[in-house]
This record gives sequence, structure tokens and C-alpha cells, in this order.
Amino acid sequence: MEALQDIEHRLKALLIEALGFEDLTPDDIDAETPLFGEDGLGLDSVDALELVMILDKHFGIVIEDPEMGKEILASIRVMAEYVLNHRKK
Amino acid sequence: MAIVITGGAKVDKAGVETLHGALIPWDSKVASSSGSWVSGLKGRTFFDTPPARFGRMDAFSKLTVGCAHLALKDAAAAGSESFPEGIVLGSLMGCLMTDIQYYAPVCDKGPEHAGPLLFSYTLPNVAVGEVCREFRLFGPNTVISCGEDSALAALVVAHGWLSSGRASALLAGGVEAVDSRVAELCRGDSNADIRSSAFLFQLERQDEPWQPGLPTILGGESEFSPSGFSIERSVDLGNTGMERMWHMLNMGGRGFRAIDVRDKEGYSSSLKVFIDTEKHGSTTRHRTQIKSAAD
Repeated sequence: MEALQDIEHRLKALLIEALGFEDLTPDDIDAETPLFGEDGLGLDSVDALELVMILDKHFGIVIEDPEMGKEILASIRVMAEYVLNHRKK
Repeated sequence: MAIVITGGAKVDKAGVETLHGALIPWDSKVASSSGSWVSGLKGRTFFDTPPARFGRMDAFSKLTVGCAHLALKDAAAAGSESFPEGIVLGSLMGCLMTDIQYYAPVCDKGPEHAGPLLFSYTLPNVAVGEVCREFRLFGPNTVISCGEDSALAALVVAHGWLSSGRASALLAGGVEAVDSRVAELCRGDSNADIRSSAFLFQLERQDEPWQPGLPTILGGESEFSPSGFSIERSVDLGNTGMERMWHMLNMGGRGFRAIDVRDKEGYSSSLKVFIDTEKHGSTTRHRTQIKSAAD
């Protein structure tokens, strides 16, 4: 079973690829940094849709409730923990 | 009053070139890529510190934003004290490459494979939006897609806006982002070879006294073609006229030059430029230095 840290690393890599962060590596992203907002990675609502697709495509997790999505996509750490407990792939 | 060209940049597979600067060799990895080179564009090709958004842009927007940055730098380096208020962009293919990239997986595998980020770039005016956002242009902007004379038509429109006082400085030119699928679509039965490229110029309205030595756009006419993709000629397709204009500006000399583009149905754009580089020998368009890719 994939460990939490491995899931975090995988999520970071998928995020970097999906959102085109040319100068970032997974090690550059702190797992607890907020993904949205000026104090965090600065992602926007379109990026959120990409993250939702990543969870569906790579882990079989479907997020249908926007409020639930806001909680799950708070940070890489929170996402990884949700994947660990709810993944279907 | 005159509409002058104070700066410009050109980007194609051979490299990056500015109107007043040196030829900068292309990143060898990009030049030798087996796929479409525009798909492999990186922010550091154009910027010392690339904008955070650059990586997520589609190829059409990357090419437009990168070329705009270089055109602005070129104008500033040449001594221009003006900054554009807006941009007029011409494009034959627009964001068709992005549209195909977006819809291909949707058609093959279903709507759940639609990419939200790529969807954002499935309109050609998003590219000018990215330019305006990055460089804080709050004035008029538009994209003109009217067939193979779109880039020249853009210069004609920009000339009109500047002459009428709608703006005092603008970016204008043409961008084409093409991969094999787009090239195949427009090739049709004409064996035409459309190529990716970007040409952007900084145009300014200067009241008397003029700054001597700068190329001056005297005016133009444009009749928009309804035929769109009915391309007949096999050379210089897409950004037609821009390559000729670039060559003309680099050659310099003194006198009037006219660039005409006409499609097979007789619709055309015509642009007249006055060049006077013999009067002031300080106008530099010499390629004296080649920067290495490592610089």
C-alpha cells in the first residue's frame, strides 16, 4: 500500500505537470502549504478543476460537492490523507 | 503626426530576433524536437524571470506573450519612452491547435476527459488577454482572424486606432501556432506549408517633430476576406507579409515600401511603410553578436 509520503510526492508531481509549473520540483512544494490564496501556492478556480480531475483519473475519487472539494483541496497533505482513506485505484 | 515602429521581435523555429538587437540562437532542444517546436516553449526562452502563469498557457499564448515581451524590451532598448496601451493581434489559425488538443480526447474518450485548464485557451483572444494581464495594458485590444492577411490587417487596424487617437502606442502583428494536425488541415490541395511564427511590433503615434530614422507606417487598406481557409499560394503561408516586412525593415534604405497580400478571391490587405535609415546611420540592425544558448 502506498505510503502517505509517496502519495504526497505523486500529487505534487501531477500538480506540477497539470498546471505547467516549469521551475518547480516536488521537493519545492511544502505539503502543508495552502494551495489557494495569496499566502499559498496561488492556485485559482480553474486549477481546482484540474485537481479534481487528477483525483478522479489517478485515484478514482469523485468530488461532487463543492464544499467538500474546498476542504479536500486545502493542501497536498490534506489531499494525500483523503486519497489514503478513500482511493478506489 | 506619424505612426512609427519603435521596436519589434520575431520568433520562429530558427530563433529569436529583435529589430534593434542581435540574433539569439534558439535553444537546441527546442529546435531539434521531433514534435511541433511551439509545444516545447519554456518561459526562460523569453524571460529572465518567467511569469508564474507562463507554464500553464497554451502554445499560442506562450508565443504571443513571449514575443510581446521581446518587442517591448526592444523598443525600450532603442530609446522609446512610450509604453503600449493595447494590442492588435492577427492570426490565420488562431488557437486551432489548442482547440484540437482540447477536443481530441473528448471525442475519443468522452467528456470526462475535457481539460479545464486547456479549455481556458480555446479562444484566440485569451492570448491577448494574457499579454494585457502580464504587461498591464488597459487599453483597446483585439484579435483579427480574416484569412492569410490577418497580420497585415492587424497592422492596418492598429494604424487606424493610433491615427484616430484611440491610443498613443500599441503592440501589433501576427502569431501562428501550428502543429502537424493544423498544418494538415490547411494544406488541403494547395501543398501549402504553414509555419509557426510570431511577429510583434511596437507602434507609436508621434506628433511633430518626428524622431528621424524610424520606419513609418503611412497607412493601409484592408478588405477582410470571407474565404478564411481557402489558401492558394504555397509560400509564406500564415503571417504572410510579416516575413517580408521584417526583411524590409532589416534591409533599411530610404524610400516607400508597399506590402500587399491578396488571397485567391481577390481580397487583400495593403500596407505602406516609409523607411529612412540612410539619414541617420546610428540606426542599428546589425547582427553583430550571437549569444550562446548558455548565456
